[in-house]
Amino acid sequence: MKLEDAKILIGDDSILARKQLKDIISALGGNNFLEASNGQEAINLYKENSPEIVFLDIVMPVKDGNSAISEIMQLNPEADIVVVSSVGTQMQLKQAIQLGAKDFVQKPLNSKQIESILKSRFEGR
Amino acid sequence: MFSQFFGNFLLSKGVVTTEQLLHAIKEQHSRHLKVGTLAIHSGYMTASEVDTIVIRQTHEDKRFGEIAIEEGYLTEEQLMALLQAQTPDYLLIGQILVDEGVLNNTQLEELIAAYQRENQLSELEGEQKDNLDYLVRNLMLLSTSELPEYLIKYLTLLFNNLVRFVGEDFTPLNPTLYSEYVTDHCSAQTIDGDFQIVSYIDVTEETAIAFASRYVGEDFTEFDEYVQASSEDFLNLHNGLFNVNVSNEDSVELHLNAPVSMANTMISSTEKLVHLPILYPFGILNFLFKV
Repeated sequence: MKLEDAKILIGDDSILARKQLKDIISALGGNNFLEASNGQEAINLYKENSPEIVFLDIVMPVKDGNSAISEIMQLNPEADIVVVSSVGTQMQLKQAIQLGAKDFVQKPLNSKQIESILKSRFEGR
Repeated sequence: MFSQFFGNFLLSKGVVTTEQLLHAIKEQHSRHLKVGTLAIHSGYMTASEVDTIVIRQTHEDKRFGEIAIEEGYLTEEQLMALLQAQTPDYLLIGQILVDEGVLNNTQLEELIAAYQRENQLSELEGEQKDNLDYLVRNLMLLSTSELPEYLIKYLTLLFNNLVRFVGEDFTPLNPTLYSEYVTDHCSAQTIDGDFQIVSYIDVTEETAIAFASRYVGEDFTEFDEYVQASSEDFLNLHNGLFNVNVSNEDSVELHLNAPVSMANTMISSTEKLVHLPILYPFGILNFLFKV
């Protein structure tokens, strides 16, 4: 699948963090974004849209990233979830992977890292 | 990493004004260290010997090092050593203040000696981390002697993160303890677990815009949601990295709560509310910590 055709869900309570991630992905050709500002919104949007990839922050209000990973994995055990968080402790990383996340990105965002994650999944422009 | 604390030292001694210091900080990148300043710092020459050469240079077209060797103040080996030596970056701030007429060389000589003595600064390479740790402890002594050890670690990381994500041109002002504080545009985040830290960053609207422009690397002109999110993002990034550090180094797992906005709110504490203002050329970042 081409990146430009992929639905990309970004769950982060920071509008700035969402914008920065969108900017990086847009520069690579992605353009179909769904945005959630907490874990519950992310779950709802996943249910309605079945996005090809999900970028999720861990520390979020209402429902945190880990709870959202669990619920999304129940909806679709094949869901492709990448955690993007400033709290990259070994325990946090282990927990996210055990819950079903496929990748973990430590903030601050590094565009090269996002690029390699997307290149391993989608065709570029 | 020491020029920031040297600025605090100069302000505390009352030898410079905030404006004079900010001017020197701004000038740092367009100036370079002179042999005379290096010679004073190394102890090879006294301030008055340096002044003698500077006066001679006003009517003789010769380089500083050349005259110093002629006068017998320096040997050729010493001159070479000075030019090749690693020097702390606070020297340049001191020299700019001398060039601007705020200080003279004798005052600078005394201030450098006092600064090194008071902070037990080591000249040795590789001890920078210990030096920074000591500088942070010394700075915080001004507010209280009973700050917990983890807060020293937290603040040491904060100074490193300010250099890394905002810029090195800051001066920490002296911390104070409050029981109440009224915020302007404020973001807050709580870490809890084995211990708790509630952290706040409070700024004026104008400073928030300037901070966001630097932190994000975009030119913001009005106080919008991205500007608001910038200080929350910085707090979240710093607190997250702190969690990673204590998890790796001390095997302590903490929990980070989502940052919240607290504009025009009264923060009160029966415990300790430490206010640490960080002076940047674009404004003051008021950090507060409840421990």
